[in-house]
Amino acid sequence: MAGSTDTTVDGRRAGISWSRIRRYGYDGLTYLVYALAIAFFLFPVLWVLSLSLRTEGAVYTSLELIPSDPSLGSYREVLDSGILGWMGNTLFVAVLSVTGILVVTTPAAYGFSRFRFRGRRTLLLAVLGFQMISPIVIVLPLYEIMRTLGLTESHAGLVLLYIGLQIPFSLWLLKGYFDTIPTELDKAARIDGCNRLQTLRYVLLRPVMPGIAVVAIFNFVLTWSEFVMAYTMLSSGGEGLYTLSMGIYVFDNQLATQWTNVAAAAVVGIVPIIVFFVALQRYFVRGLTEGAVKG
Amino acid sequence: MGRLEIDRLRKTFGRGGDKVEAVSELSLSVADGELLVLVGPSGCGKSTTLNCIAGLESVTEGEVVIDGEVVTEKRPEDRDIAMVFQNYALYPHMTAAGNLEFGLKMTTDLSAANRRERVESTAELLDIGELLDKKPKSLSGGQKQRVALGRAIIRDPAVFLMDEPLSNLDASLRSTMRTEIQQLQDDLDVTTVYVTHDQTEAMTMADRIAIMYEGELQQVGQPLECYYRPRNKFVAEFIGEPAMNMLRVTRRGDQFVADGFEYPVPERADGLPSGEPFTLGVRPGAIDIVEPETGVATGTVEVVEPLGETSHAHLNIADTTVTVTTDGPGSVEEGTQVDIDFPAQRAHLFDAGSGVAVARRDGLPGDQTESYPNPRYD
Repeated sequence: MAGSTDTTVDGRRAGISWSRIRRYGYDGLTYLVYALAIAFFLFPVLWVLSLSLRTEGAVYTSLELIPSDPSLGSYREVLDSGILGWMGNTLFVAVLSVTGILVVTTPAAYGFSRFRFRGRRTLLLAVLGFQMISPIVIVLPLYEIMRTLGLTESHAGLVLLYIGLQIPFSLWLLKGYFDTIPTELDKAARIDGCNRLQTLRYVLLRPVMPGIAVVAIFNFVLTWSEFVMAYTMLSSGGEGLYTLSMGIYVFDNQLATQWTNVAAAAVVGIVPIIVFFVALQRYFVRGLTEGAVKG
Repeated sequence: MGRLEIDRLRKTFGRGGDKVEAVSELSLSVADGELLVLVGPSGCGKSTTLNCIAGLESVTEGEVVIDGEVVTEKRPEDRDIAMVFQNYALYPHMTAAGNLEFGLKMTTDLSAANRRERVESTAELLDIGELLDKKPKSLSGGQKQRVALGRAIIRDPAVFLMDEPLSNLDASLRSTMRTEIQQLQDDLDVTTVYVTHDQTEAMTMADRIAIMYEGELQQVGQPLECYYRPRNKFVAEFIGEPAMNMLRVTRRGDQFVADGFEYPVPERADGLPSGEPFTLGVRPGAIDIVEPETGVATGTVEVVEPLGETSHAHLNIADTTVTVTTDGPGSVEEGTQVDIDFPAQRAHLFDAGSGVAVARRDGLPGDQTESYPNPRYD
C-alpha cells in the first residue's frame, strides 16, 4: 500500500519537474532569440558610438568596443563644422512635412472611413498602387517637375515631395484607425449639432490621437534620416541648405575620410530620434497594434 | 408637445441590381407623450426607420412630420429630437458632465453657468451626480447608459429616439433599467420611439407596439391587442414566449382536421369555406392537459423544460411538435401520452397562403367590447 503511494507521489514529482524543465527550456530559448535580435540591431549603433569616441589612428588598429583611450575630439570637430545648421534644416523640413502630411491625411482618412461615395474603392486602390512605386524609380521625373516649378534647391520643394510621397501610407494607416471608432460616435455628434468637420474636430480627433501619433512619429523619423530625395533636390544649392543625412555624406566624401567624424556626426544625428522615439513609443506601439488588429 | 407622424416612408440602399428596400411604405402616427416600441427581428428595418426619423439617413420617399412641421430635409439638430444608442456612444475623451453638456454647447447659446445648472439638474434626476467628473472608461454599463439617457434628456427634445438602449446590459440590470426608462418617460411625458428586437421589452414598456418584418409594418396596437388579436401569422409567432403553435389544418364540415387532430370549427369561423387549408394557431399557455380520451388530440411528451412555477412540455402529435405550458414539476412526465384541449376563443386561424388572420376573436380576455380601442391614443 505504502509502496504504491510512493510510486504515485514520485511519478507526480517527476512529471512536475519535467514540465518545469520544459518551461525553463522554452523561456531560455525565447530569451536567447531576443538577445540575438537585440545584438543584431544594437551592435552597429554601439560600434558607431565606439568609433566616434576613438582617435583617428585607433579606428584602424583596435577592435575594442570600449576604446582604451576615448576622445571627444571628433565631436568637437563635427559641432564646429556646421552640423547644427544642418540639424536645424532637417528639423524644419521634418516638422513641416509631418504637419503637411497630417493636415492632408486626417480629413482624407476620415472621409474614406465614413463616406460611401462613387469611386471610393478605386481611389483607395489607386492610392495603394502609388505606394507600391519606389521613390527611387521616379526620382528623376520628380526632379524634372520640381525644376520646372522652380522648387529645387529649396526646403519648400523637399517638404512638398515628402508630403506627396508619404500620403498613401499615412492615409491607409489613419483610415484603418478611424475604422476602429464606432460610427455611433459620429451619429451622436450629429444629433448633438455637429457638422461633419465639427464631428472630426470635437469628437473623433481625440479618440484617433494614437493613430495620428503613429503617423507623426513614423514620418518624422523617415524624413529626419531620408537621403536620396534630399540629395537630389538640394545638392546643387550649397552646404547651407543641407539636411543632416547630406551633411554626414559630406564628411564621408572628404578627400581622406575621417571615420571618427562620420561616426560622431551619425551619433549626433541619431540621438534626437532615439530620445523622440523613446518618449513617444507608448503611443507608437498602441497605435500600430490597435490600427492593425481592429482595422 | 411632440406629435410624430411618418407618412409613406420608403428607404432603399444601393443601386441597380443591388438595390435593397429596407423600409417600404411605412405610415405611423405617434401621439404626444406616447411610448411606441418598434419591434422586429434583425434586418426588419426598425433601426433604419429610427435613423430616418433622426435625420441620420436620408429618406428615399415619404415624409417625417414632427409637431405638424415637415422635417424630412432638416438636419438632425434642427429636428428637436434626441437619441440614445445601443453602445451608448459616449464621447470617450469627455467626462460624464462634458458628455451631457456637449449638445447644449453646440446647439444653444446658454451661458456656461446655465449649462452647468442644466447638467446638475439632469444628473440629479438620473442619480448620477457623483459620476459627473468621471470619464466613460471608468463607468459601468448601467452608469454609461444613465449618462447616455442624460445626454438625451438634457436637450429637452420633442421626441426621444432609443435604439436598443438596453441590449448591451446583463439580464438583471436590463430589467431594472427597463422600469427606470418607463418611469422616466412617464414623468417627462416625452414622445418616445423605442427600437428593440426583444419582444419582452416591447410588451412590458410600450403604450403601443409596431411590429415590422422585411421592411413592412405588420401590425400596430397595444401590446395585449397584438398578443390576443394578431393580424397575421408573423405577428402571432413573433409576439409571445414560447412561440405560438402552428398546425396545418383543413376544414371538413364542422371540423378542422389534421393528422391525429380534430377541432370543432368555432362559431366565428363558420363562414370559412370547407375543403380549404388553414393554419390553426394556439399559444402554449392556452392549451390544457385533459383526461384521457376527452381531448382534441393525443400526443407523446418528448421533452419537459422545468422553469419552476411552470414547465414547457413539448408534445409530438403525428410528427408535429406542440408546446404546452403546464403547472410546475410533476404535472407531466417525459414519454407519457397525454390528451390536450383548448378553448375556441384562444384558437387563431390564418389563411394558409398569405398568413393573414381570418375570423379573429372579438375583444380581449375580460373585455366585453367588440374591438379593443386604445383609450389614450385612438
